Amino acid sequence: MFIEGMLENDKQIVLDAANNVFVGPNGYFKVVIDKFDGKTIQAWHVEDAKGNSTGNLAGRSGGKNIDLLVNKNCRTVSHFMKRIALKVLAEQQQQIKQLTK
Amino acid sequence: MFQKTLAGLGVLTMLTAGALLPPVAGADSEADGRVLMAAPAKNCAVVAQFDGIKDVTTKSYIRKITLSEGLVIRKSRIQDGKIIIPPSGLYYTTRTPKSGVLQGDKVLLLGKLYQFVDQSTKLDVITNLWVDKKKGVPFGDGTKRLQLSKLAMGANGFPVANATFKILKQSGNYYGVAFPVATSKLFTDITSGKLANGSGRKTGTYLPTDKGQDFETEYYASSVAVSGQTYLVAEKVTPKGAMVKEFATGALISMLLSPNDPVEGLLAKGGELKGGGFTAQVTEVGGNYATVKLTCDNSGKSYTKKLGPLTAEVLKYMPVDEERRARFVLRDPADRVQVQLNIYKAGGAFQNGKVQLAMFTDLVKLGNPSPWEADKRFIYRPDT
Repeated sequence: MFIEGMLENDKQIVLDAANNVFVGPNGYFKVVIDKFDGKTIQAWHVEDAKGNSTGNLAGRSGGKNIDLLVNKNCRTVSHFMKRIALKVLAEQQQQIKQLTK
Repeated sequence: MFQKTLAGLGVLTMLTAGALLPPVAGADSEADGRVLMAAPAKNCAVVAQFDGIKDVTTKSYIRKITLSEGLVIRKSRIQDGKIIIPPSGLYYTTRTPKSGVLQGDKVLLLGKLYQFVDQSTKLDVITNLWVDKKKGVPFGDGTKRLQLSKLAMGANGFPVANATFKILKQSGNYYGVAFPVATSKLFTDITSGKLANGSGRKTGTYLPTDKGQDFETEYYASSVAVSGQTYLVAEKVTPKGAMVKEFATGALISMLLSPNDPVEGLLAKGGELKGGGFTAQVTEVGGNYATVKLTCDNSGKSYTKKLGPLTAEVLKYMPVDEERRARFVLRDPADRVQVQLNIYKAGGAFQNGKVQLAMFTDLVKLGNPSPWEADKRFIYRPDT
């Protein structure tokens, strides 16, 4: 029975302000670094092949990494999401509180 | 014994007991290490839904299933003014409910649906292995670990060790079922058969002072934990760790996919299916079998096989029984095309002296792991 398969990068990926785009397998998506000063990633996003884009993803890590989870309906992803769901909920409520001040 | 067993598995160099990730068998190792079995950082970016990473509902011969893609980045870091994602740190993932071959199930890969044609599997076993509390040991090709994730003292209110093992997979996720075991003399091990017919109590409420009802000293545990093919037999569980007598779990060796819909037909003797540079001709139809000749159109080489017989006995463990399933299947030696009895399609494989066949063409073989031929910067790896 097949349940899950992965396509993973074989070699290390290195990005910076100049070399700021990594294209995923078969061009299916892109990881784009928008603003990086060598110490902190101020802005980055993911794009699909049609140009749809996420918002800036730098917030949760404070610009210290580009670790990522996309699609809650994929059980591989949702298992990870569940581990941090309460933390994310608290963060979002705090953000809403700040925005509504 | 511990080291000897691991040496036999070819993973002695990986023996880091949960601290450092080992180099990965079947793929190149880099100086900074491949990050299989790692989870994303707890402060990772979270995108609940995104247009480019899809969910697709498909219908096979027997059911409707939803296939979902995902995207994960793990162990990324900033170093010397650069953003680094280590090998295997970025992965696209495709997830299905338990998809079966022969049934018309599909696999979603990078937005495209592939027919799930066939697969081969293996059983990884380890024996007589000590696992420290909160540590793990690699098994199989070293890309998965058996983790002693929890060793609880006093779970029942008195100080006895209860172990819970988990299987940590390549994706960083755990196998969906945990394996709780205990071996204390203060427990009755139910593998003795003690509760096989119940305790003998009748429906009602009992007090510890009732005659023969001292349930406050009556505790049950199992030295064996199971989930389908997977089993773990504990020799001894202590506060410091556990001795595993035997552990086994399945894994994929390879799978065959087709990018094309199958060529199908209900055929009498002499009937043909054509596709992928091959012709399949029915040379005989019996009550529960058919003989098929598969010929390569270019080379003229042909392969003939009697498919079946289709009996209740061989269907018992279908479609997962690999050996018996092969009786319904004919492939060329290079795995370019597969012809099979279409046993799950409406109407069944045999109807009024005719046989229902499906022919899958332009097969793609994916190993564990294997290069992703369409873009060799990527490795395909099952996470099963």
